[in-house]
Amino acid sequence: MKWLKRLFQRPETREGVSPVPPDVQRDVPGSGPEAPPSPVEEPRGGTVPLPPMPAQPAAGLRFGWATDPGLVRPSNEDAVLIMHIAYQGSRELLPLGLFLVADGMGGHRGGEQASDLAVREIARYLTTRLLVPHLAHRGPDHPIKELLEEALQVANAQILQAVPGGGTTVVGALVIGESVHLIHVGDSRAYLVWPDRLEQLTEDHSLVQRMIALQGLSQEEAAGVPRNVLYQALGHPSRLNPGYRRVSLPPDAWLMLCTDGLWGEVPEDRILQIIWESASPHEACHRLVQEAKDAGGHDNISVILIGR
Amino acid sequence: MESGTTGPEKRRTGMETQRLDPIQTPSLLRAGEVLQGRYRIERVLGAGGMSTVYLALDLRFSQVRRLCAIKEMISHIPDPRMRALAQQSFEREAALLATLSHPAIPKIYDYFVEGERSYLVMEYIPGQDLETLLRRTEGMLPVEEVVNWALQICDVLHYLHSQQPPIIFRDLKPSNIMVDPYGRVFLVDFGIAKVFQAGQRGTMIGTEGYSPPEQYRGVADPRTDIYALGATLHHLLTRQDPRLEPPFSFHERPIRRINPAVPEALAQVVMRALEYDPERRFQSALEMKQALLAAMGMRTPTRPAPHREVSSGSAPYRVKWTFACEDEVRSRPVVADGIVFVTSYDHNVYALSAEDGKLLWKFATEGGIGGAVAVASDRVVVGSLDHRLYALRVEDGELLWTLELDGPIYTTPRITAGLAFLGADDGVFYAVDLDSGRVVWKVSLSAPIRSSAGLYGETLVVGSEDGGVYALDLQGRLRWQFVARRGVTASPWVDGELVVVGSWDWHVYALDARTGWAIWRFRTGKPVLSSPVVSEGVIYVGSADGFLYALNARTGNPVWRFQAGGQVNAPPLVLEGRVLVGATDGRLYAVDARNGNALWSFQAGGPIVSAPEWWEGVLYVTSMDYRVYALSLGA
Repeated sequence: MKWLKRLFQRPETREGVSPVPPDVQRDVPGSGPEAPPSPVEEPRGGTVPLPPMPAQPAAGLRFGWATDPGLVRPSNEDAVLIMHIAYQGSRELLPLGLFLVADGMGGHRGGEQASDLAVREIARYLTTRLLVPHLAHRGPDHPIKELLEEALQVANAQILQAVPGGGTTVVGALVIGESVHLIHVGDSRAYLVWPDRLEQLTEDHSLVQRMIALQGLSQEEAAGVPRNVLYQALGHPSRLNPGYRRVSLPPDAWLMLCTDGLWGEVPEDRILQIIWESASPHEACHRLVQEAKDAGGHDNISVILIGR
Repeated sequence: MESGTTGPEKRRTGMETQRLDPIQTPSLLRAGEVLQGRYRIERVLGAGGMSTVYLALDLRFSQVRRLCAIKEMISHIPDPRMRALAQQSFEREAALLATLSHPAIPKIYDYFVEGERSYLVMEYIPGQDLETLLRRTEGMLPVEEVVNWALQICDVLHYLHSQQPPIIFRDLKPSNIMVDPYGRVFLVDFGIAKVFQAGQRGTMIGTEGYSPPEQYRGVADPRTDIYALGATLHHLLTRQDPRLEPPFSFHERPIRRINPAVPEALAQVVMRALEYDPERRFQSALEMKQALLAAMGMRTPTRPAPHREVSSGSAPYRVKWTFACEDEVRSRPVVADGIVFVTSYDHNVYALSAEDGKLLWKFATEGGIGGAVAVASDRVVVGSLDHRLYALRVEDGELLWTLELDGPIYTTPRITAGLAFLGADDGVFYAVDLDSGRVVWKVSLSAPIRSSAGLYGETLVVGSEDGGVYALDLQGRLRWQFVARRGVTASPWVDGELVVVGSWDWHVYALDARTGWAIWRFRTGKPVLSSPVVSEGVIYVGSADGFLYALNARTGNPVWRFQAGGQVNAPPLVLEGRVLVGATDGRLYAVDARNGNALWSFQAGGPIVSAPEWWEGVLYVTSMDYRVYALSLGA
């Protein structure tokens, strides 16, 4: 059972800590020569040992995904992209995952081009700015929120240039260890799936959501408001102000990203039931898609489930 | 399931809806073509959603060059039902205009049908619409000019709203307002576009921008036009296009922050027209006109906004006692077991009775004292600019031990696990045994340390004057390091997830407590010397720019900000839904934690640069006027 022990051992208890990476040493010069003797280990500049990161399961993240054109639309204008770093080795490297779902719109293939560009450009940008430094045991050189916002700006500029008339929503989760950084524009959503409820983490950039948020619109009043007006999406000239939010990913919950083809079609209690009945996130995602199709499948359906 | 989101096709509209869709583009009339044997087409003036407007010459007036505008209804709509609707709407517009008579409404000369096309002949207005004007000019428009247009629009709206039944324009926006070379305003396009937008299917991106919330529910009354006028004025005065912003977000873009030339009174009139709730807007165009006139009459040269007046009459506090030291007090008072410990630049540590402010004992160091004391059961520990750390008996101030460091100490020791942790100007961070006064370990950081360490569990976080932020465990091992662009003097806030620090580089940083990675940063207008406090997911922090900020810890977005009368370099104290913070204007402000509204303030004799202390219903405040104030807070 040695492997089991290793898996669950708190890293702090390991012997022989790893050396400090050079970039951490740089800014910690040695203590002065007159430093009085100290009874215990006295870390000196340049040799300050960097202890392992706090306890993390050595494995990576668990996730599943599915996407489907549904039953009415001629093509799938949604796009899904997943990148995942799982690591087991002599040093600590937090598992890192980037999960993106985009829901494109616009005729003449504009929708599918926009969503495709969105997920690829965002992933490309974050690979350079975040994943590569992470693999070199470095933190990002800018705050994560700004990197995510910049990634969307870059994708937006690409879409405006390359896909005139096309637009797309996007919702992304950057998972680093147990920290989740969410970014979104439009009405694709992120939820935390608790054992007993769905917690919606994103607020749609839609006219009706804005009116509900501003005035606590009643169901009756909200019923008259057009549901299909977004005030923000990639590929639109409006000032981009993506929603950002940081949450912790609890061990007993799933993070779900999805397009309105799921949340607009399947009631929350059914989503909850299917997820907790399923044996794996993969199975859950496929059953959710099927459920949306059973309910009519009016729109493209995409979903990702992520757990620790 | 929402039916609207599952239409057969997703389309991108919004800004683009004004342009002609190729499928609906009919052949345009050519210059020189003559309609009804009377109107010779000169050129196209503009194309709207379902119509084209031409400039034409009226040939019947052969002696003069009489120009008119001819609006052509386009009948090339594939759906016959829609085509009929469009036709009806066009005829309604013609009939409506024919009954109206107002200088700001174009006169109708004629209406006729030729083949598949219907035509409305109108007064030609030489000039341009305000959207074109905005596009063709740079810089802010003169305020007086905008107000002049606004007054004229109020007049014409009043005229329309006074008709029986009242006529609601419904689509007031810069592109529907024409201005001629004499500054006269005309309303054009009486609501033909509205009919068609109901037919949109699929998801649309972009909103009207100028329409009030109730209009999206199909409700329109005179206050609908009031809102649209407010939105138009906001756009004209700020040049911020509301179609590019979230709907109903005008209050997030205060006019005077974008265009300081706008008088405060005028900005208030515009914002009142933009109230979300129609009941809170002007109830009539006439009322708005009066307010505009009054606002301009009261106009004063631009000056910085006065900070919110704080009423002290109803202040729920009473000065219980004060105590004067012999020099400035820059550190926080510390209360333990009925004793208030105060440290001063007069070299002394004072122990005062919390009850009446009587001096219990004092202890003189050999230098000024910039940090507060830390209390550990029977002893207080305090650092002095004389380079020494002192441990004094709580009971009588008896010296227990001293420890000489290599530089002056400006920081407050942090105590846990029988150790005192503190940094000094020698750039070294020390762990000192509380019993013996011996250094247990020390870590050399790269620059002087003026920041008192933050502590959570077994993690210490401390900033240094070169911008380094270091997370250490209780054994002095470095967990991670972050570098701000300039020094970190404020004390970091640490909890299980977040580390929050303020820096001389004007930013507040939120770092991941496990990795030290920056999550977000928030830029203020000056250095941040105030130590942040996090309470219920909200970060409260002051800045030398004179504001106290409340920031959402999860998003990094501001929740509110409160403007004090001086720099806010003191850390705040969050107390029962209130945030208490001192400023360099000598005031201690009590602010509502939910919305940043001022509750009351207390005026000390000098700047307040440290946090107040709260103990058993009494607030202890120190100031650079050498004093300590004990304020009893009422119910």
